[in-house]
Amino acid sequence: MIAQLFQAFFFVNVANIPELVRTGKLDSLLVLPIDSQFAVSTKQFSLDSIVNAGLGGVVVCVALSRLNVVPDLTSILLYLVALGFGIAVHYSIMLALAAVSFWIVRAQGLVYGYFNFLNIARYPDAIFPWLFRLIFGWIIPVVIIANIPARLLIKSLGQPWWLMLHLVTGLEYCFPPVTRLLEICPQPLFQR
Amino acid sequence: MRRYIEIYSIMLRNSLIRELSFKANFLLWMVVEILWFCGQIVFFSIIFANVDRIGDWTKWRSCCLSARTK
Repeated sequence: MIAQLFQAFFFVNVANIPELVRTGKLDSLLVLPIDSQFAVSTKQFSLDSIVNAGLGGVVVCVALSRLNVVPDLTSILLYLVALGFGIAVHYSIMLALAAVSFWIVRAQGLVYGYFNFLNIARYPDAIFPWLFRLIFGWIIPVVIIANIPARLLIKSLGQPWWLMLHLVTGLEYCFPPVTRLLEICPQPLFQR
Repeated sequence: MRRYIEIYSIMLRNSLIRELSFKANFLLWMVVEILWFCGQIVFFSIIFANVDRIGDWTKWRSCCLSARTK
């Protein structure tokens, strides 16, 4: 769900940033009378991915019914919040990588490389060694973005508030640039 | 704020029109993604046909995780 929703709303745009830089088309976006990050990040959508995200939702429901787990309202809310955080983490990492194109011009390798790297997030964190978990759980919090929400739904796998704290910490201290879009309604983004 | 919501909805509508101008391609991409996802489920099924659990992750817990990531 996270990857598909990210793909639906942001991936096409962020992956296109190096090309905008290379061709000089970014200039035409920068002069628009709207926030530049908003203009660059929301120009296109990949709507077929939304349907596939729905499929992911169906599989989650099937898996929960097989596990005989009935999540309460708090778990569902935390799950949805964690879903948003997961997308925000992806967005922030990928935007940071795309921004490298200002120095090296063609940075598609970085962006698509990261997108493939996301595959590690769909495996249980238990399979990774502790150093790997430390790096990709705290410094580049890729592994936690799927593991924590899954643990939130399946309560026996952890304490929800501690898991959320881990997720929030991972997002906040690693990727301050993203918080600009995360603070989405107020000041910097929408004031202009 | 309202202006940005309007701009966002216009861009969303434009994307939908652009995607639907090639309907077959739009549908095929969905099918491709669904098949890829089925591949993931099969992958976990094969693993958990041989082991009961990985750490504290059982088959359906792992499927839940995989669907969440997808």
